Amino acid sequence: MTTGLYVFALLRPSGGDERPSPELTLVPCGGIDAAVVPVSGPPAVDADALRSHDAVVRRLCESSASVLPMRFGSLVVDETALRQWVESVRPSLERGLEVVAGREQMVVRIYGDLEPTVCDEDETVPENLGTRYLRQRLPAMPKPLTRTIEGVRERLGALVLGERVERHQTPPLLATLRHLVPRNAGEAYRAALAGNIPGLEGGKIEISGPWPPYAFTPEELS
Amino acid sequence: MTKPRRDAARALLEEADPSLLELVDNVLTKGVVIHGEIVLGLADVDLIYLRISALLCAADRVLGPGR
Repeated sequence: MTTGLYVFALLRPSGGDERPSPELTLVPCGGIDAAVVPVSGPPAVDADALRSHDAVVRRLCESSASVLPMRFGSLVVDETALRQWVESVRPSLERGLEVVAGREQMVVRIYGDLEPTVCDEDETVPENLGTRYLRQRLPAMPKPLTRTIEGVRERLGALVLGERVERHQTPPLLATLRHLVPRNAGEAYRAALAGNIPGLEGGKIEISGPWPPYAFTPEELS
Repeated sequence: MTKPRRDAARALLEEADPSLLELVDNVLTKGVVIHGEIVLGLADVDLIYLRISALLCAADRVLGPGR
């Protein structure tokens, strides 16, 4: 018994007839397609389900140059509700699809020995009065960490088309950089970051990707 | 949210290898959200989100023995 539609991603129609899988349906929403499957209930949060979600999103990226991944567990009642929601946020979706067109995501995690900061600082969070008040009370980002982040940026140069920075208070994990890069630039990205990066003594970076652009969906829809 | 689902979320984190944690960090904490329509129990997501940073930086995994 179908009780809803599980939404994997929103994408620009490719014009082709081939679907990434026979179970998947592309619901046309006025120049934006929604990739869905009918489901009988919310998914379990397990490794297989998460891997399946990512695998479907990756297949969609193979067939469309512009894909906005949905967060795992996105369900709507039916196609009517889906189209109504798309219309309600269309400007944000259109902008988002432009941002991610022809692009994918790489991730750099920075590890090292530093005193932890007071609290997490997510630079993707829009700043308001409360956030600004808290940031003024935080110590500044440690200079070695700043130098490492700047060193990473310098190495990557024009490969980086967008960036999200997340600081952590869980040493040795100090910061995560998520970068939007041209598709198929993963090897060049890793090559650019080979070797020592100035800043953190005894630190290291770990690179993962490419990923679909999960972190570069419109902030107001995240 | 039912207890079996909360247990499943904890089990996911405790058994996760580094590649699965990276997957969780992307698929479960990023991406477009349909506000008001999400059926997935929020407590599952909050539990995973709060713990993932700690798991990603497990010192023995990252810095090797002797640190």
